[in-house]
Amino acid sequence: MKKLFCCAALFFCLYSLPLQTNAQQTFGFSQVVYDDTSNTVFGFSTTIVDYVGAFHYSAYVEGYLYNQAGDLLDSGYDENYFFAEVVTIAPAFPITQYTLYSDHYLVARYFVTVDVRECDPYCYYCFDYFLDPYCDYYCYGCYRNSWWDPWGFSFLGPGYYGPWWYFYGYGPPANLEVEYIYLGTTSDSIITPLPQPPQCGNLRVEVGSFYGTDAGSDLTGQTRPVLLGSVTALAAQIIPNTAGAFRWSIAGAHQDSPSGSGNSANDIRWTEEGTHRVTVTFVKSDGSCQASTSFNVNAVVPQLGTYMVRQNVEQTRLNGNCSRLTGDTFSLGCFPSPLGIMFDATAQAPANSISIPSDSNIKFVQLVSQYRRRYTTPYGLQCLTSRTGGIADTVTGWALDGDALGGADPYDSVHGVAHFTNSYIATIASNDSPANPLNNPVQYQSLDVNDQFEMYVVYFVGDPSHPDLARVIGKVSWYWGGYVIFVPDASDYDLDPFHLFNTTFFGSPTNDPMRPYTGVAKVREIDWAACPEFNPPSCDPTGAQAEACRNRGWRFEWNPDTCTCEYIGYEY
Amino acid sequence: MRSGVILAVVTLLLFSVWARTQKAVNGSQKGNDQSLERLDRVMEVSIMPVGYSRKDGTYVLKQEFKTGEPIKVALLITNNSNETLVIDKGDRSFHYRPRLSKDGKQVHYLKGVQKSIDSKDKYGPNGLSPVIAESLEPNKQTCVDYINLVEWYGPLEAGHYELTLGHRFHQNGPHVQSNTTTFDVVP
Repeated sequence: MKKLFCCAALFFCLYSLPLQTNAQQTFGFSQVVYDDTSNTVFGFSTTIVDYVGAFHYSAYVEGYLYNQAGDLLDSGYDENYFFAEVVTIAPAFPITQYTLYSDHYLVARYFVTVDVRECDPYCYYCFDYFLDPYCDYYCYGCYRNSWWDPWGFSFLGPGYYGPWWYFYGYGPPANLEVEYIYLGTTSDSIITPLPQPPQCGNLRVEVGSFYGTDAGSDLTGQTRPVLLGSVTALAAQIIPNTAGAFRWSIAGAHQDSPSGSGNSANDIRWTEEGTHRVTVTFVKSDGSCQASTSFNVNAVVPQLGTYMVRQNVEQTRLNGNCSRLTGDTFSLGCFPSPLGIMFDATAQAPANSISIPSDSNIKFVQLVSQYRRRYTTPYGLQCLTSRTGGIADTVTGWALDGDALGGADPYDSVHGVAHFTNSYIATIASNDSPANPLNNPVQYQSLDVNDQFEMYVVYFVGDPSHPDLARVIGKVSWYWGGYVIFVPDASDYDLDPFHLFNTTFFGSPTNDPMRPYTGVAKVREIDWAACPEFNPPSCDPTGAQAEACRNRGWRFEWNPDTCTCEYIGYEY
Repeated sequence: MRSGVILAVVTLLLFSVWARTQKAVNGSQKGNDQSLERLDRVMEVSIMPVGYSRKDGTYVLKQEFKTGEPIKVALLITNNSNETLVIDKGDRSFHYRPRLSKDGKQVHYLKGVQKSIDSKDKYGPNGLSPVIAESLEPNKQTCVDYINLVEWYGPLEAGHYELTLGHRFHQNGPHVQSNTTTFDVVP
């Protein structure tokens, strides 16, 4: 059954491929399987021709099944239009290697009559036999029927391959004397297992979890959720108590570490979503019989529960010291009260999960595309941004939010990270109060702020900074900013804010990964530079000279017209 | 004459309002400074080297690291006052000044880090980094952050290390010094 499914999938792939490629291809496949119910080894040898190729070629395959001594146990062949398959069969002996070799061929379906000059060197002179009546006699045998190889498979160098191979027809069209074109040989082998002891009639195996609402109870025949990547601690027992060992068979991509008496316990981490079967087999210490049990796990990523965001308004304050800045400030809220924006998120997994809840976590990760543009008397118009397109460009310049040391992941390593509780719910909360000084270190004449953010809720396992597995489960986009202009006569600021009222909004669940971020967050006073929307002078295309000038202090001013760092020498 | 009197009264009133506003602003500034200075007095800073423990599901004390392994330091702050106080975090190059020595010799910051902290020392915080409020309950030690030493010093070579952290709570404030902790990096 598995093999049929496999072949069907491959067949479909093969048929869809020629639409995308000029070269024609043929697929060869070998598989040996052991059937423990009939104690038989089956070999499947298959050659598949794609639908374009099938117009010119038939598929042909020969299968040869050998044991480890090199004895040929069975062989066969098959020829068909698209799909040639032969099944070879042999009785299975324990701990024996069986190898299947499949020779793959294409069979040319058409022949053409060709002028074979080589058969008679005198034919060279028959080009104008109408003028030379003797030529007709000499050239009579120079015409021959040949098999037509339009895709040039005959130019392929045959070889020996693993269980499968694609054979490509790269060569030019050819006329062949042989009908069967040998492509190559694929092979597969298996070693049969030890003979299974009979079932112990008086023994019963139970398997249970250390965690979850039904911790300790027998899960045989049930399906239980587990959180992707987190540890599921299982234990098996034999009833009545009997000496022997447990063998675990675990489906799905996973890592496990059996432990306990006779491997009676096992810590398993599934790294692939979906339903996977766990089978535990107990073999008596004398090997006389065995007993087994099984149940299913459904490895899932937790879902976003609630994600509430409360955002305050932008404000300017004289000597406000908002967000612990010095002097006049433009800020979202006014840290420490009120805070700029607050995030509260929960995530939940099915309540009947059985993985260790505290091994699963969620965290906040924030991306930012910041843009700040100021005008100051000493430095003129400057920007602090990683965007390439200016204030309206919210596509570029994205970076992991953080400070001068780099991006911070997680955003808040204490309150922005949480385990799942025993009821499989996790709650995180954090906040941000972005701001900009207005008269430190220089008096701003105007300030434009357009900071865009995306705050993600990320499910993860392992170290919050270096998780073993991480998936985005929620996201909210937010922004803050406005236009501030200094009014010297009033010694105050006019503000055109982005938000006039406090707002509450909600993040939404998502499975999409975080947007790519390549920009570098610019967060230092020394990072102010020419704005991206204004072309820098050709004498200083990178702005490095201007930056060096600024770094000399406020008594110097960069003149982009003359490309000089001018001493201005006045105080303000 | 009458209009002159009115003008004088209005001017006086306006001046009085301006003066009160200025007083309020200066008073608020002073009050703010005082409350910030209080943080320096009542906060006790301590650190300990930690590593992530999958078994415990959190960072736990760890004093031996392999080369290349993440080396983190838990920042713990005790609020020794009788009321809940709020500090901000998120701008590490402003708040933190780790001092690391290896086998008795001081380890220098990465070049870029030195440039950043020079900027912060000169200009102070600017609200561009996250400004995250952290409430500290009275008479209680709270874990505030995990500091990644690799971000400050790059990968550490094998050796015996001593670390002290200065924590600055506000601009112009002192770096409140932590305890000195030690750890080893082994090949």
